[in-house]
Amino acid sequence: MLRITADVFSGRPNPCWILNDENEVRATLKELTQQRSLIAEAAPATGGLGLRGFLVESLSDELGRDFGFSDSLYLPAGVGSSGTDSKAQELAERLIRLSASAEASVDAGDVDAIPLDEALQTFLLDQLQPDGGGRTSVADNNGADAAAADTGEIMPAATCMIELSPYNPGFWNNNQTILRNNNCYNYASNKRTDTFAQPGRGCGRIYSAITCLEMSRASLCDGLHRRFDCFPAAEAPRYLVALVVAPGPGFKDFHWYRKMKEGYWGHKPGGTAVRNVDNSNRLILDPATCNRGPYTQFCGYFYTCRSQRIR
Amino acid sequence: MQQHGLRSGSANKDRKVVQMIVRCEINLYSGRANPSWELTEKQRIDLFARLATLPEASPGKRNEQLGYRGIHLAVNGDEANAVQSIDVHDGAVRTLTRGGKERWYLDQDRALERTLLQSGKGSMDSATYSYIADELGPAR
Repeated sequence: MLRITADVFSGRPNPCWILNDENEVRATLKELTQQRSLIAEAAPATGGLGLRGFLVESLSDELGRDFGFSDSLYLPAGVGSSGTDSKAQELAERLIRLSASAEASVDAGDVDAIPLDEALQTFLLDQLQPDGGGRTSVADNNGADAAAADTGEIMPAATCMIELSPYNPGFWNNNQTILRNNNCYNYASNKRTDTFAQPGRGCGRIYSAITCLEMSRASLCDGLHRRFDCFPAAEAPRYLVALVVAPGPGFKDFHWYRKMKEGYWGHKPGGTAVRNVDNSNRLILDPATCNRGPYTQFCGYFYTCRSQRIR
Repeated sequence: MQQHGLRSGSANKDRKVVQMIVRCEINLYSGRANPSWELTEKQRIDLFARLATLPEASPGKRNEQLGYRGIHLAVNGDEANAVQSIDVHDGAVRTLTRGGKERWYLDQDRALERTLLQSGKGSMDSATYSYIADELGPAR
């Protein structure tokens, strides 16, 4: 048996689950111990607020011997890790998902115990995101940027809730693999795929022309919604993004922006660094009116969602 | 002068240039994949011969704006002092070694940039080629 504790809270008891399935226990330990460089012996003395990592404890005297550790391992994650190692991220996700088939480990009478349900999984997976859980949910009430346009947008019949994350360019810029293999669509969606993602490829119907109409069609096919066509809370994070197109004839391309918690917009021009300024080096307060170089057509605002298919 | 192991002018250097792979990429798009191609052996030898003649310059700024951002060359090889990448844009050339050492050179009249663009003429449609050629402007 294996006990996994998410090292996440400061005041209340940490969520904890016990894995009984022997095959799953051994497969998990094998994966963890194959990545020695990612493992620490104990939790760091100072880990910051939010998810710091996972304590994995053997509940029998044979597992440690079989896999070469004493009685516990610690996998730094979230704010406790560098945040850019995809293998560490993968291992952390695996530990979180194991909670679905695990047994809760709680002291009798612990009224604060967190139930091992989908909400806990969602919460912990959120904490693994590059924004470190610093995101906020706000009502999308039509700022100045909504005035933009005759773009066929749905008008605000309802107030939609969206999420805004803190501007964190380092996640995208500091690792050459991430920098070069993720584009504006990855950044706007806040989903690293390392595939230079293309609208419509996730749903199997990639765009067939670089026009607002066709790029919008492909993006909606991947699961995005037009602005003011609300997503439920279960689809969080629902980022507000904007699509623009360079219509050619010599230069045909598409580009995306994402609204940040700080109020400005961030974007990633292809395989180059994430930035929050436009082609005039001005902070982007509205992608509809900023200097976009050859991307002269503003196609409109959209929401991304958790279930977005992106490839 | 010895620069990143590519300016020695030796037979050994030429052998390395013959064996290496240099992948050229127009740093152009944001969403779509950029046009890219491999330099031929002759083009590689010409490239490094020209690099050896460029005057050194003080460090410049990399262009990360929307639109044409220059030409990026990725060089294979595993020696720490060997050049790993070369970026050519707007009269400036930046080389970076595998060991992380950066150097800047002057590309007068954007001549190297034009030559590199011409080497990829068959790897992009004519409208794209003309667009970039216009961005570069006429040779003086």
